[in-house]
Amino acid sequence: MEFSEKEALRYLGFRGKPADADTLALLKEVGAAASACVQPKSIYKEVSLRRVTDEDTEIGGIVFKSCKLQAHLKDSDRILVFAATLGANADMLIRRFSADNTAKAAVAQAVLAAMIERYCDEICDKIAAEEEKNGYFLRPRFSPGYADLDLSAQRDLFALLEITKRIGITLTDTCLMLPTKSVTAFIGLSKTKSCKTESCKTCTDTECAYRKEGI
Amino acid sequence: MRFREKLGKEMLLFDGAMGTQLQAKGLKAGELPEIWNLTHKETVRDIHRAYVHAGCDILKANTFGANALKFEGTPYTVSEIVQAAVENAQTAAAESAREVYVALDLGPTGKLLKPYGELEFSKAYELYKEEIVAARENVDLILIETMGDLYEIKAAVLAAKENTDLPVVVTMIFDEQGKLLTGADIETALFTLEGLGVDMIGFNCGLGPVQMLPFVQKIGAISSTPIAVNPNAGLPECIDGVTSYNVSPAEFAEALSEIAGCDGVWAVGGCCGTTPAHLEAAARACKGIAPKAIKEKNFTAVTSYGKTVYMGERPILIGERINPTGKKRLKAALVEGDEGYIFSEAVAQADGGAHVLDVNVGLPEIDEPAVLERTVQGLQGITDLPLQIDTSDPVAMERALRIYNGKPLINSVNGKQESMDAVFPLVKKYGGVVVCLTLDEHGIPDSAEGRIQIAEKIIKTAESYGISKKNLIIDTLAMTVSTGADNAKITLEALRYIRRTLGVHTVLGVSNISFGLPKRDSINAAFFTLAMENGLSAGIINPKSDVMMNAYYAFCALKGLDENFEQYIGHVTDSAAPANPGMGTDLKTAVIKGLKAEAGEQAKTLLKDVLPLDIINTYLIPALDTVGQGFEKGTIFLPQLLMSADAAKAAFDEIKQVIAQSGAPANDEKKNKIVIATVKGDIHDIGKNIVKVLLENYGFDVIDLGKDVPPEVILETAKRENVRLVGLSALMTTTVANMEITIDLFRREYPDCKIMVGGAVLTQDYANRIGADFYSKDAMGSVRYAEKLFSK
Repeated sequence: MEFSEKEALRYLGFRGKPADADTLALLKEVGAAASACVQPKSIYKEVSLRRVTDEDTEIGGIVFKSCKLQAHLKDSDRILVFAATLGANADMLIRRFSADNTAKAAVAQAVLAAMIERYCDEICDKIAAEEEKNGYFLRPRFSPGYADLDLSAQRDLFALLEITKRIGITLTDTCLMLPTKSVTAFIGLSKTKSCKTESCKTCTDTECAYRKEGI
Repeated sequence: MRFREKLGKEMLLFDGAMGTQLQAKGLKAGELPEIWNLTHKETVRDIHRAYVHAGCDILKANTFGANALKFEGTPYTVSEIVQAAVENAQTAAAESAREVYVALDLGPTGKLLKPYGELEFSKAYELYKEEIVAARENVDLILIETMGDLYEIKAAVLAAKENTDLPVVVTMIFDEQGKLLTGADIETALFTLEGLGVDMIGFNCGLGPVQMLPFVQKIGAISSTPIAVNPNAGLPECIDGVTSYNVSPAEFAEALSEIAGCDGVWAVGGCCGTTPAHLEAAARACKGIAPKAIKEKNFTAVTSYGKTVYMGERPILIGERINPTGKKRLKAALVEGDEGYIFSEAVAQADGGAHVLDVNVGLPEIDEPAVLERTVQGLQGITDLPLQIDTSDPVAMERALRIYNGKPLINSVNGKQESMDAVFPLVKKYGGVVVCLTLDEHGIPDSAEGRIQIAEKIIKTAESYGISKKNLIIDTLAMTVSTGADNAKITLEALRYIRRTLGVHTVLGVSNISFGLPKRDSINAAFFTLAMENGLSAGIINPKSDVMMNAYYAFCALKGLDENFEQYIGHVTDSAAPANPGMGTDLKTAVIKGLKAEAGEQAKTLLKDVLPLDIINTYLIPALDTVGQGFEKGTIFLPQLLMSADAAKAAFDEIKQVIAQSGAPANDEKKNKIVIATVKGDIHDIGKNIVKVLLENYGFDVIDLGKDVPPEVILETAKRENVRLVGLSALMTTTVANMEITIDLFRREYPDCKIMVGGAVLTQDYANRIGADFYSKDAMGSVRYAEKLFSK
């Protein structure tokens, strides 16, 4: 399975600096092991979208509270709910490496994080290609836990999509997802094109491991 | 006629979907469908009635998600929901002139079980038990369906079998690659469930009948158990925000009739998207198809959570290393509860080519049942190899069998009546292939005939317990040749007869042959080859021994058991690669370069002349400092830092081994203890694990409490162990709140203890706000803080 080496290296703290040969070799080895064990699955569907107040957005008949989500959706008149996972064996691989090789465990963590991102992007690109025919463009994915959208929104999002039954992601009592290499998101659809990646420059979290310099 | 008697007499028809039918009648997303059993009784009954009218023989009560986890916070109890659901189905069934059966329907709990998730196996068992107890008087069978995790299925099956005598049917949801969510393939699921003795096995949900057909053919070819198949009305499609299934009743019925004609299929029906119209068409198309008789298959197979190992012509290798007999380092690890060492032994044997891992933790000074259970649970979280549960204590054996995720090898039973009476009921109940030692009340016979007679007695007794000989492997006992020149001959003669004439698989603890002799590997390897030639199905050996592995791969190559010599060539290429790529460099360089094997070798060599403490101070600490400083300056990065840490750990392991063998206490000087944990609610532990490895490298004694650890447990441990420093990790903003709660608790109850924190969302500012003593921005930060603190 494909993943961005650059992205994986950023998670490992390289921040754009070139990686050494040992690390690159490890990325290749772990990447192959990860590709062999992941069971990628995804699911999405379009649901109804209605603004109730500045904070409340009714999505698929359920009210989600978040001003930032509403702002994010301001040009959208349609919305998709989306979930994807690499499956339980991705976590298994990290645990296995943790037993005797911390370096591989850390690299696996980064590689799998890059893989789930790439996998989500691939699915979204396919949806985007379809929607473009209808004159719609995809907004970036917006997930529970982003900005002021509380992580507990996961529960409703899970119900909307029957995520546990359909692709096997479960929620802990604290609303974290297991398997861990999983993503859920709202994806707005708008008739105007927006930049695909949200700008990192405008974000206040300057310590974020995902932060990209210069954009 | 009872359900079990009806099986195989005619094609039985399960009903179709309940959930999608309720949605069509107004059930909203997120609403619990089982509540409708009470609030919309007639709606539910009408759906059942429609299925009866369509010709269905089995109604699934509307109890799919009726477990206590899902009903927490609702005004309903599980038992009232379940009883109402069963009553609704029974009402519809009773109105029919035909015989209609009602199934208690058990779906997934909605949580992932450990080690994949957070739910304890025993808790999953209790959740299912509660539903079963509520329904057992009024249902005809228990249907465990839409299951994606073999481990959760085992919890449900045990709950069913231990609390009722009702028939148990299990249908699972496989993806298009033929895998369960937690990775099991079809054969693995089948053998595990046959071991548990379920009445029917099969598929439901996920796929339509067309996609399911090849899977049905596959399972039909290997199953000795009748098969049930309940597909969806095709693959789900989303139209206008509504998930729909678009295979028409006619198409569905046609495809389903093809499934009903497959070997082993004795029941069919529908799942998501199917309607009474689909089932009516299915009844017309399928009910006339006569179920075919099922032949007992003869596979000797063991499984892990995800894969199957077959005994056959090519012998399999059982890794013997997780057994404390004669291994001081492992003994020390078991006594200290050092699972890391045990896990690394497992991984090394898997990498070495083992197919199954023996697990023996028998030591007089430990609580064997508890330690065996914990070790098996831990191992199945890090390896996909099947395990051989090796104990002479039936209590320990049962506890391990209960929580084992798959169909294990069991070591062992012998010809003593007492042993057979204790072990065979466990094998029958939990499933497994059992190693049978050819000894009895009179000891070990010194003739091949004597051992064969015991084997025959064991086979016969097993049969009387309902255990077929395919689930036995006979050990004709390798006795050391140094005490009897005929010993090898007797063992091999018995072995050959049992395998070739009795047709039962065989096993030997190969290395026993050479006790008391010098250069044991040579004898072992020769005996191993002889044994394989005489019909050895499985050798319990050390897969880390090159000599043994050479013998194994050469044997397979010579016997035509290695297509194109692929495995042989793979093995010799691996072992020809220089074992020590950095030979010539010293220990310090090996650690700096992150060469793990080299660092271990160098440490071993140094230990012949240099004191352990001098090795640490002259080589290891300076090397770690060089790397640590490089990391802090930003000239080297996390992967290299960790490669060096792993290399240093390999050197420390050699040092520990020497210390353990010298019999000296593990710690000459009292090391500084640190407790670390990922806080309650958080399941991310990679950062914490990295910190642990680094702290240990720097000589700290780390007590790792794992992830999702309640504040009270951290406090209690810190107090009991009298530690001065605790490290807490949290990855999410939401779980940092639990970090704060933990810190508050310490401030009140144990104010002298310092607390350092780390994790992706933390910042210095944030750490200050929650009252931490130190914020570690990266892995080295915690080492530096601990050094500073303890140097005072």
